[in-house]
Amino acid sequence: MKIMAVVPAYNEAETIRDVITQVEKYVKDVIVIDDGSRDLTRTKALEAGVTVISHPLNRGVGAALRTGYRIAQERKADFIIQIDGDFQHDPKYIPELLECAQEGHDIVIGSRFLNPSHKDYNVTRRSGIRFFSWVANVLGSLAVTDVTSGYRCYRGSALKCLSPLPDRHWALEQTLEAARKGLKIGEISVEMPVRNRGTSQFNVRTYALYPLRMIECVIKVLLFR
Amino acid sequence: MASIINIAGFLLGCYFLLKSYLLIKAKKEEVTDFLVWSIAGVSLLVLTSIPQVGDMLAGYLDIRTRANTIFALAIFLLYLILFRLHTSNRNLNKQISILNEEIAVLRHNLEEQ
Repeated sequence: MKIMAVVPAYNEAETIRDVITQVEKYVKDVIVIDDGSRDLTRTKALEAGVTVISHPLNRGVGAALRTGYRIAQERKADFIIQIDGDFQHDPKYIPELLECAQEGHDIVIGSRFLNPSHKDYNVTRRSGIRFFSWVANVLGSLAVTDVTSGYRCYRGSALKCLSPLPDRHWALEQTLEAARKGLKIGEISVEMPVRNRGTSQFNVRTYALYPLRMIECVIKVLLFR
Repeated sequence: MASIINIAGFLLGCYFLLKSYLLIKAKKEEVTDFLVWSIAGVSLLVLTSIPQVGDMLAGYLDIRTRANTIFALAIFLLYLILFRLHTSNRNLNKQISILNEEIAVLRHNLEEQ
């Protein structure tokens, strides 16, 4: 059984090496997708001895994941772990994610809403995640609590039937499409404290554009997929 | 007697036609630009030298005044241009993303060899 970890990273020089070291305790084949970082992310990842694929331009997490999935499919991975390079996702949950996927789930999401760690996030973000999870649950007949979580495990065959991700705001779109295509989606509890190192991708612009992008992706999935 | 706005419109029309002529003279094969400049130029010249055309258009479109008709047509034209820009921008964005991914993977493959 081949397991691969895909780590999308943008300006994560501070954390990427520790993330790789921790992930390698559970997964031998780690691939870092450096999404056009302007710091030493690529160098630090290469020093850790893993495969690094560097985008010349920063295009967003979705674009990095798309490249990661492509490599995973080329290498014929049976299960793919997706974990952020900012250390917000603790690699100790990887065995649990894999176990859940091996029990028959096509996608397993690490949820911060199944434990108290979500309380560390500000009200706007918490409400947004709850709202979008509700949208996914209603439109996709699901019961997920954290649709925006990027800490996931995929069955290799499941990724093949999903459309390529958009460059940004990929999570709801992917989850909704997977649900509507009948893939089995599970969740496990994952503590996800607010990041205390590096810079968060969330800013005023992100918050302002998020609802619009969500509406766009819901229409896209419902009408065109 | 022609009003100031008519004269200004006429001059602007001439300027637009000059722009389209310069495109031909420079042998720039920008057909869309040429069409936009020349159509805008001819429309302005017609509307300012024969004001009855504006009145007739207003009557057809059921708009009260000639000025409002011109504004409505201009807004419609701008809307079309904006939509065209939006679609070409979206397509270019998609192509950049694809190229970005391809370059990254090819560079990685080269490094591995």
